[in-house]
Amino acid sequence: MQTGSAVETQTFPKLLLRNASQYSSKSANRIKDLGIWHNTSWQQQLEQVRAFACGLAAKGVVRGQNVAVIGNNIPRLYWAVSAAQCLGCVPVPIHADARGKELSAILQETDIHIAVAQDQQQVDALLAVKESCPGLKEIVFLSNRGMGEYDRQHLLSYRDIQQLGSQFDADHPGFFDEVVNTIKADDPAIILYTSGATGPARGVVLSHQNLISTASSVANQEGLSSQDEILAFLPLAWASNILFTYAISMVTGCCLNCPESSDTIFNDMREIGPTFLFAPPHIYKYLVTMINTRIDSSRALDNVIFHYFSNVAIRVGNKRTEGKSASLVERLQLLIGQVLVFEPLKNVYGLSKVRVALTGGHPISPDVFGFFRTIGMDLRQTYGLTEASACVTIQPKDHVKQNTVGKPIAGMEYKLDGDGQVLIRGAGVMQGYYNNGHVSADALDSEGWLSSGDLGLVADNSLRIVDRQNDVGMLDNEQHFYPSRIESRLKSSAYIHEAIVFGDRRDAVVAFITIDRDAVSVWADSNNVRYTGYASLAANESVNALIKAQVSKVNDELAKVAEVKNPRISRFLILHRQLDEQSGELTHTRKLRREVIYKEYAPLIEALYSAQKTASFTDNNDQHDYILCRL
Amino acid sequence: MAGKERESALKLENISLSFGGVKAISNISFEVLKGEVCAVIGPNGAGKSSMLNVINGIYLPQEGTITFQGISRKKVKTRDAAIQGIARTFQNIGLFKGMTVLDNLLCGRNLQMKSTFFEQAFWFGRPRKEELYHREKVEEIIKFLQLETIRYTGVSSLPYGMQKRVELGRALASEPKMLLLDEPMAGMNLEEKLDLSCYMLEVNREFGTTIVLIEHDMGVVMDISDHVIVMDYGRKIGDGTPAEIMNNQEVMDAYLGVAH
Repeated sequence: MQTGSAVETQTFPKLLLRNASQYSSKSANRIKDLGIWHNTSWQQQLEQVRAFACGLAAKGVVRGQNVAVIGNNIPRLYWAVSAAQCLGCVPVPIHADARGKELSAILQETDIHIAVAQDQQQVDALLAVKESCPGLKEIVFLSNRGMGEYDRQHLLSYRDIQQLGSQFDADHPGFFDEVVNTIKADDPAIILYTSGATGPARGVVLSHQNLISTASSVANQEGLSSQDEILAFLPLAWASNILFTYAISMVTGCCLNCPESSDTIFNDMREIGPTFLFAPPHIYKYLVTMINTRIDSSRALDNVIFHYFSNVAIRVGNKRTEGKSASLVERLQLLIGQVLVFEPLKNVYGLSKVRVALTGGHPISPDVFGFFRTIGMDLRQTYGLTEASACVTIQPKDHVKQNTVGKPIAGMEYKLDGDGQVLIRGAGVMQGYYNNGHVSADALDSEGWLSSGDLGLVADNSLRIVDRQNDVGMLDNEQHFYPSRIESRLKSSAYIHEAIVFGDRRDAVVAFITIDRDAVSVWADSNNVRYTGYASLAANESVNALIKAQVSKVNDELAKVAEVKNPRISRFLILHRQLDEQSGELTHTRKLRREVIYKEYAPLIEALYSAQKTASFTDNNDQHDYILCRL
Repeated sequence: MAGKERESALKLENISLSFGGVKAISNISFEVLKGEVCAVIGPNGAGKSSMLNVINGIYLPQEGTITFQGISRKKVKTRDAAIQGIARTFQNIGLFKGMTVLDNLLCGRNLQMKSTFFEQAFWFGRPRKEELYHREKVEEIIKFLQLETIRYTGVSSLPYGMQKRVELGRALASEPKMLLLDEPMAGMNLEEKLDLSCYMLEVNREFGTTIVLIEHDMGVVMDISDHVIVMDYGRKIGDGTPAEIMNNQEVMDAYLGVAH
């Protein structure tokens, strides 16, 4: 780590130049294409970025303009982000599957003239909204596939731009270095859109200094260096992704790896062996479910061995969190378990080399969290929000507690206001929302404290996030309940994929559940339950009984938790399909859009509060029947 | 694609095929243009698969000539058809069940391999370079058909729709000028059909491959083909654009049934 005292004056373009000279031939990027990993060194990356930046300049892009970058994790898109920053422009990453109103709203608000798109899908989405975005003049695409018959009037390939750029660079030597030198640390570096789970998506303007100081603090604290390997597999436009892949790689000089496709992530992970991993809870949950399903359907002996050593590890883990030390026999057992079971298991999923594993974004369920710590992975929780460069606190290594999110990273601080809301101040806090002065003023007070909208508690010197302030509900009997707490408990179950609870101004808490198709299918197969697909599983009585048992287990757990009291779930139903992004029920980062779900399924919620035993509901002209389970 | 190039890719003239006393195909003539998606439809036993088998030489017709790429033949050998650039898939999947997806696709490259058996056995001379080249070509197909996740999976453990896709991939691996697809979507669900239709159209557009397919799903046929040929009892009863076929009385009768 060479950043040290210079962090305050660093910019991403300067970091790129530094990395190119310091780590010139070391890998900066790697992507698997046609079955082979292709390396790009820092020196080559600089050349690529330089050519693209000059190409943009040749196309008339000038300092201060915004450049949209749409797609998945591909080095060339990260280079486009970097190139825009080198010109003093502000990149606006947009989710690969954004379209229609969502896309045009962002393009209009940020007044995009030029957009860099991954492939035909994104180009089509852009062309579809072009009419409503008169500012959009040029679209640059990366992949030629399917683009043969398009009208090339406003379309340019990535290579075209780079060729223009090389020419421009030759004609204007010194242009690139000159521009790079004029960029200051508090210039805007990126506009990241919030997920829009609780309201309209807002463009958060982060400066070079915001992101670089946050990334430096994380890197220093966690000991990340140029030798680390990161796999970028989260949505490109998610603030956490920009921080934990792009910014960390720029700050430390480590290698950013991009998977072959979004379906091959775990295979690619095994080949790369990342040493630093940040993933939202649902990825960890997916891994646990996959492992458990495979263990359950394995030979009896494997099953016994796995569970025996898991229990040993849980016992030792519990002792350690209580501050006691494990006995010699237990330590020996754990060692054998690690050699026989846990290390091979981690190896299968490419987790063997992970030194630092973090999670954040939403609350992680206790069982999933416990599982990874059990198998010897140092998984820790973080807390952050887009407005604060995606990372405010991290659990310190020696103080990992189930429900906390730890202590602030260097340069950040927090406090609680009178209502218990978490307020944040520090180097990572945004400059404001893009073109939204009054909203920014609401969020940021005169002393620089940012209102997070999250309810927190401080216990044992650590921050604990209770829930989103707006989501906290109150039952008729004035008892408060905290939906995401209950939901994350429900999602602990391997059989439950997604859960959403209701109960505000009602007499009881009720829940919608979606089942984990893979886990429930395996269960159904071994229990002689006949089914055809997801909907038939969801409507099956045995499956409902299975889920009922899971829910009542959660009710028992809820009763035991002392600090954050929650009422029990009194009824639930299993939805006939998964919640998805296309219908707006989930955000791109898989957060629940409660308002949308309330509205869409209002009749079903009413049914849960009635005395009915079954209900039916029409979705897309198909009628579905539900069993209303009472606990 | 129709109308863009009017060059003929395949021309069948007065083809008749019989097995003993059973006339499978009687006196059929039609023409497929270059770059076309041509669908052959008709009730069961109409002679559609026999027709494909005649085109790539599995069956030898008693009468008639077949002209492919300007070369007319009375009799076509399967190997010659393959060398000329005709690839096909079968109604019942014809993959090598014990091999991985990758190996199955590499088999499709067999005709392009120049090194001899001995060179390959002793890994001497050309094979190394050649294998790298062919592997890259196969990887392009894997990327094109999005088979990355199952590259090393044995084909027998794949779901049916996936196997069909792999079979299409193996046919593509030979870089064919013409693809013969025998009921590529039989037994598929809606999602799989949509996927495969997209891939077929993309193959047609990206590589300019002429496609002749047999298909029963009229929705698919009308959506993706430029040209439809209708057969019934070994005879051709319709030949034209999808719109023309939909208004053809004889075709309606064959499908809805009248007394013969």
